[in-house]
Amino acid sequence: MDKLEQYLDQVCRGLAGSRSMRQHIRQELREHLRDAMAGHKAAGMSEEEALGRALADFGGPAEVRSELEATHGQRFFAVVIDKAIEWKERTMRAKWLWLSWAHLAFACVIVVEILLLTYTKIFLVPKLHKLIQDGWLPGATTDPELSWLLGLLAPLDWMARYATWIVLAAAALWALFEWRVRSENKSFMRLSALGTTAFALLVSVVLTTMAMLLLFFLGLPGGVILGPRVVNDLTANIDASVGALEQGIAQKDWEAIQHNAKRAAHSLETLAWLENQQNKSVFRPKWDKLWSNVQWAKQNMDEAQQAIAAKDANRLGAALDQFRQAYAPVRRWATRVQEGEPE
Amino acid sequence: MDTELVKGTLSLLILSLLSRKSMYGYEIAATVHKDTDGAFTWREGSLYPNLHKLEADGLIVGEWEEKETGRKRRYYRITSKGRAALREKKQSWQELYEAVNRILEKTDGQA
Repeated sequence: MDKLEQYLDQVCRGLAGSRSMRQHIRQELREHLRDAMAGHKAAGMSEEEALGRALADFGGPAEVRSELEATHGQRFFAVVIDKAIEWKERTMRAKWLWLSWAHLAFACVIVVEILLLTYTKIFLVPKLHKLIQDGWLPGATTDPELSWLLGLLAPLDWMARYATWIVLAAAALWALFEWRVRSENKSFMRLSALGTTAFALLVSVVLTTMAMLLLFFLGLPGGVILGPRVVNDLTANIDASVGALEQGIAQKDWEAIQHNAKRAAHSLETLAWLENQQNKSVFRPKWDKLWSNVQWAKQNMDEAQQAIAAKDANRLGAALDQFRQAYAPVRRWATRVQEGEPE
Repeated sequence: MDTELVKGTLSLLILSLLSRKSMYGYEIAATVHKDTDGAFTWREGSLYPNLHKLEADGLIVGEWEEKETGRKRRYYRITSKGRAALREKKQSWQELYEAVNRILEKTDGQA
């Protein structure tokens, strides 16, 4: 019957005359439509069909209203109210369109940010860690000014570990919101939540990207940071690797021995690589004399790696002795450079 | 049938029907439908502005009556002024009918 009353609202809206007279007109039209419905139902129609037929026979609400207004006149305020309702309906439609667009835009931004973070976590972060582990980015672990950046990647691990719970919690909160909240500002509240999420994810993307880029470029030995610090980073990495390697020998842990020998060899390779770069000018003139020591140390580390592969402890010990002998001058020079003494 | 023609004769039909007995809106519509075998296709909603106009002119009087079923209906009855108006309208309709027929017959003879 709501449909019937809506129809009567449309027909009787704005009729001039006393309230009592308008009510009488409405009552009379209602009774007519109810009689017509009863007739159609008696002919075998359903309630809905009977109502539809009765309204169709009665005429369109705008036409009937126009004819009634021609007889009874139109209220001035009804005209104003009609215009106001029309304006409100137009505004509501525009508001709905803009709100829908804003929701869609925020949802797309959130999806893109989540995809970006997922890609970073699955593909980029493991590669960065591998580079650090293999000693290609010595500054990333030895330089305190850089190592703190690794902490910025930690939230990514946390999010990946609890991804399922985070999604479930978000879905539960959303469902609760849609179920319980009955505010007229509900759309704006939803939009605010989406906007806040998009902003938080944007901050995560920016921090993660920044941390990775800085770790990569500033951690490279011959990349952005040139000069004595590069040598210091590399030699510190070699020292740490050789120390861990010796500890592995004491514990007869061949896996640790192999891993740390590989790390030391990488750093030595990088040190040798620098000789072929423009950095010669930074280290001259001592570099020329040390170059042969670096090559010698590298050869002995290669020999040590072969001994490790063969699990030959005696051969490994001999190769490490030769390595220490070749590497000692390089280490002493690096210490002096770090302390600011002339090269 | 042409809706505009029906609209022009609606007050004549209403007065004619109410001269038989008092009727309420739906009853008038249903009687027109029945007596013309559904030949009149019109908006039933047009009936009420005409009824209200006739009432305002004093040709008919409407009164609410409550039935045993609890339904209230507004019954209309014709007044003496309405009967006089009906006679005039009938006369006018007769003249119009004859005049139009004469034209149509002459036109048919030439066609």
